[in-house]
Amino acid sequence: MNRREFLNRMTFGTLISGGALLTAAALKIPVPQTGFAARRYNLGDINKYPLNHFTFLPEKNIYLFRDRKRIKAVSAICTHLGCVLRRSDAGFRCPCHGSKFNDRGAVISGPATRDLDWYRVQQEPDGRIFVIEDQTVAPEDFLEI
Amino acid sequence: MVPWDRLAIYLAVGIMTGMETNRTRQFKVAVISGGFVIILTLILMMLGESGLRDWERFQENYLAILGEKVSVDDKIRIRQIENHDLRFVDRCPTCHVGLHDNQMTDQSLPLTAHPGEAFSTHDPEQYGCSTCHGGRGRALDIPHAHDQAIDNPFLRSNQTQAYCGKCHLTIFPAEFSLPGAGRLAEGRTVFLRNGCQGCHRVRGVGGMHGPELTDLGTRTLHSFDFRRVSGDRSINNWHREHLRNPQDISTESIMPAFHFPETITSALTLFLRGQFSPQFPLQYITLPMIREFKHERSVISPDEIFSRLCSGCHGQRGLPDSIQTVPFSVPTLANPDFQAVASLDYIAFTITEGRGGRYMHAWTSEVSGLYETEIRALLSSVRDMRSAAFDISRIKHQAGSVEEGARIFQGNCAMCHEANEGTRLAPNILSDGFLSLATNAYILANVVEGRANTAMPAWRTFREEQLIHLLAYLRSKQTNSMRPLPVTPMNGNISRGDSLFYYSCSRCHGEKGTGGIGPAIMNGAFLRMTDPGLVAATITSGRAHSAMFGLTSRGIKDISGRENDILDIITFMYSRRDSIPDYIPAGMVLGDPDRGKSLFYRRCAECHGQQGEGGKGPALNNQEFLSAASNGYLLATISLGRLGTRMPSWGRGSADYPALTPQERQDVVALIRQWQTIRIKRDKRWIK
Amino acid sequence: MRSLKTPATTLERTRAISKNFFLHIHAAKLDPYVLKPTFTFGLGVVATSLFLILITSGIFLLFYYTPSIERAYFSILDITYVVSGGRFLRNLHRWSAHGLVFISLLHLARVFYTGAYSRGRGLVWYSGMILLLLVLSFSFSGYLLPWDQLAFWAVTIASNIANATREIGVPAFMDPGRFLKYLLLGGDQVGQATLTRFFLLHVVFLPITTLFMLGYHFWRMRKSDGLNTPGSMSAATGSETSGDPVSDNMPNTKWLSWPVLIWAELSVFIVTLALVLLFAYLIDAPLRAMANPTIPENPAKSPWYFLGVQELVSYSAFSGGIAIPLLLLAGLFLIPVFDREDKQPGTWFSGTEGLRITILSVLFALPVAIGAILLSPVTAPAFRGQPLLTMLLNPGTLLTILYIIWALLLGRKYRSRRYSALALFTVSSVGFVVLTVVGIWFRGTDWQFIWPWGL
Repeated sequence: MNRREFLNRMTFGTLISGGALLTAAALKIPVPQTGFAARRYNLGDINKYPLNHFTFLPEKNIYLFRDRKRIKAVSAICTHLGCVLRRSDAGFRCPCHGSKFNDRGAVISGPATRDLDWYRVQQEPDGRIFVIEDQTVAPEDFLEI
Repeated sequence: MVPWDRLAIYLAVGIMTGMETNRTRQFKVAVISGGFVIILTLILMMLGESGLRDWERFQENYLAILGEKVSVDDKIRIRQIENHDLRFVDRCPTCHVGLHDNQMTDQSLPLTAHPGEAFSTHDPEQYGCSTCHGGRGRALDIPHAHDQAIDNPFLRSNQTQAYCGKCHLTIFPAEFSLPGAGRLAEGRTVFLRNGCQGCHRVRGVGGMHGPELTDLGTRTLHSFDFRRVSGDRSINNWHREHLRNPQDISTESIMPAFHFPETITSALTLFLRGQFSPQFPLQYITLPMIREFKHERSVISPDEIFSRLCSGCHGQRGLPDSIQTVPFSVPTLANPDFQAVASLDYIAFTITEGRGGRYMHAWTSEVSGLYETEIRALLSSVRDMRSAAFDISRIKHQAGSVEEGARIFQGNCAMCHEANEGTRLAPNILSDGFLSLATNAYILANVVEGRANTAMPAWRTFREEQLIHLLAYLRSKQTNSMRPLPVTPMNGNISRGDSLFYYSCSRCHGEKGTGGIGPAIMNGAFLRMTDPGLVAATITSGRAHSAMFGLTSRGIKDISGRENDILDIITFMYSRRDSIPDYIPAGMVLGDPDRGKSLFYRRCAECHGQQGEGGKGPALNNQEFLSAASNGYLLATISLGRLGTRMPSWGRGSADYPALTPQERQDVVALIRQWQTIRIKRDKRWIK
Repeated sequence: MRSLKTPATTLERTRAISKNFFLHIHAAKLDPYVLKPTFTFGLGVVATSLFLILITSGIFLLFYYTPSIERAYFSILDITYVVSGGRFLRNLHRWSAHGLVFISLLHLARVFYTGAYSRGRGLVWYSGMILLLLVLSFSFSGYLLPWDQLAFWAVTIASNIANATREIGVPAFMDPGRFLKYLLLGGDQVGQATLTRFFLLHVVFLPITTLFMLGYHFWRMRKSDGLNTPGSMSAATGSETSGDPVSDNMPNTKWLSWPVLIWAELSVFIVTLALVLLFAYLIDAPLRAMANPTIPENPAKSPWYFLGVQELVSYSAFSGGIAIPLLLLAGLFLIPVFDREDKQPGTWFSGTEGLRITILSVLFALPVAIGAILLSPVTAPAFRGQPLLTMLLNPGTLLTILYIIWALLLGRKYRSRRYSALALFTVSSVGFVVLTVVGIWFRGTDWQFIWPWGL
């Protein structure tokens, strides 16, 4: 090719690649970087949670169950469309479309089809106890205390 | 201004031009009629904003009454009070123009001056109007400002005192006296006297069975469930119907129905609507408020605690006839039979550990918000529901009636202290071996104080003369004269005494001396009550006709070598007098659980459930209960029954519920003890 | 100033149109068929009028509205109570918005039933479909701005519908639904970031895009010889006149646009304006309590045009929220590809046979839809805990399958894709209307069935 063609091609190529990069960079702008709720929650003094009882933690939408030996944490978000569950006689129920779950988080009825997530409860070396929402565990898993 | 003349010309020209063809006629007609509607609507809209609005009329009336001309400063305009710290914009003075004007006191609403003394303490320029009245301060028309203010419920004059609760503390101060808030104070009293906080936490103190009420006042109309409410759709009515019968309104509720009269209900409703945890900036907060929000409140007396937290389920002062109809079985705490058999250990354990899986909370500080001192005071207060023991030293050596004493003995003591079909639940107190060593004072002390955690109840129901008769009867069985108790110095070798005890005594008296075939001789109450000499004498001479063979009864003549042994044992025992074991000692199980099971099915399961899960009677398979209750407690409860409840006395027997023999009672206890799967360590700080 | 002489001669009238910046989108001459009210009902003009009204009222509202979660609600209150004409303005904006969605759907139906997409006018159809999506996005983004309970929970529900892709086990980093949810919300919950984004969408991004799209839509129509009347030309590539500017000497163009067309459009605009102003004067736009994330609405209902989808979603999140709506949209989009028959364009239902098929379809679709909905209390407990079955066998999928079968059978019987499309469109519309009606009036607390007068 001659100089003109080469120059044209270079210009064109620069424009295209520059434009592509700009577009890629611009596309990243709306992607949210913050605004995600913290995925670890410090339970504080576990004695303040009543025994043999599902205590609701409204900031995290988690139900915490504690008895003499165990602490377990289950998500309070309905697996159907994300409404916050309430306690009922047999477990949990969702006010939005009537999904029902038992105390193990398994779906009993309703449009929800997935069981509730149980989150890992972990004790740090310094003794503090956290609920880790990033890790889900089986319903039988618990933290021994 | 709108150029009406030009518009008319264009319209006319347009029409005339278009008239030439009737293709456009239909459209022009449409334009004309549509235009009419538009013009009409716009005119109506503009009219609606020029002097015809309610607030404009009110302001004109006001100015007319005052007889003033409209000057530049007084022109008809929107008047508002803004306070960004308290986050309101109140435009109420726009209609209520005469609010500050003393000349308007004889006018009617809305121009009237504000009644009462509220302005003297709450400057409206600072506090606005919606702080006390609710409503939508930004609105300028009547319905939206008042009753249709959906996110800030509007209160009329006789109810505005509810909103005093936004700033003035209502839960913990011992006294509550705000001028002008009489009904609020009334509602407060009702709330605090009926155990509401026991299930509904407020400001950090209370139980968790019902919703927390700290912010009840902020709840708007829309957040209440009216599906089952029959009356009108207002917050007051919701509370009224809910208090009348909670299950009608909220089907899954376990709240009892309080049958309050209407005035009480409305005062209580007012109080409930005055519950706020306000968020306002520092300059509005007082020191007492800071303390309360940080849960540093003044201490509540145990009576107060009981009425706030416990009386909702257990009745006022734990009395059986005032227990609310809760849908689960609740012990009557002031019941004399309960108080007779429950030790302080049992009470402390139950209150602080609760009953897992049932409605009795563990009322520790972390859960309930009470201070440790308050919990301790509460424990003593529940213990003090037991009738006082009178001073036994008042009992002189009067002659009692042996016959009477026999009757008393047969009706109360024999069911445990007499052998029946070969089994005896309690030591033979009619034996000489016991009576010749036991003084009257000692016997009476045992009767009146009982023995904690064993089957010996604390008999507080006997009158003085009954005890005299009983003593007479007992003494009538004594054949030998009183023996002096040997002096017993406590200088033995404790560790040797420990192993001696283990090898010689524990087989009958239980591994830690907590009782078995023989009485619980390491029981703290026993040791505190009993002179060591009595123990020494008993070890030496034994108890005739019982399994306690002393040294002498085995024909050992020379006991001089064994005296050290006895000393060691006694020193060891008494060294443990004040020790508090980690677990409430249950004692040995002496019955057969299989026999107990068939007995239980036939006699007990009707009320206590087939597996002891409870029903009309309390749950017996509850792990907290089983860790709190010793075998002695179980035996005593079964034998004694609970007067005033459905629990019969299986020791005495009755027509409907024939007595169980001691062995049968042991068998049932053995079954119940089998249900225990875990042993719960108790928190010793409550016992010290 | 130029003299205001009304154009009289043909030349003057032609120039009045072609030399005017605003008016020259029209052709100088028009086919009289176009002005028959029963042909188009003027729906396109109504929609455009509503859009203009929305822009105007929206700009006025912008003087006072603040898109911050602490202030938004109160700024709406101030507009309603204090701003001169504020209540009126807000009502105008609200009712025009609802009207626009409704009219757009009606316009879609009209365009379909008169076969206006045929004869090479596919691009008009596509741009129109995009406009529909833009209108729905407009309405949805505006719905959040008052920041009241209605708004907050409607958006929460809708964002969770988008997130329903996780039901089929798509891994998180590849999940478009989840990505869309996070993009819209600016986080994992509705909050300030959401309000800012929706405001941006509603006031900048969507207006610009819509104006461009609308321009393209009009231009495309113009390039296709105006509306698709029985006498108009084919715009299909390959025909002699495609691509040429429309000639004013074509046989179907008999009337001069000036002044008839101008009067026609003006009258539609004025009547629309009149109606919507009356509405705004008489009925207030709703405003509930300020948004409170801790107190969910019960029932939490999305805007009415999404309630059909929400009803479907109550059966199964994925199939009702994603699969079926996408299927519906794809189906709508691809109609010009599917039907190339050009059967009697400009005639409603493509003739009497088509009318019969439409009526039959309505009669079929109505009971089937009602029956499927009534079936839902039975199917839900039957498949509890079995995600795949719930997704595949629920009233929504049942309806979809039955409707598709109906359309195929009809198409086979009459050997016409146009009739098949007619049938499918009709049954889908009826089904959607029934679902929407149920969602609006027959669902109450906990999404239980209620009678409309009961709530």
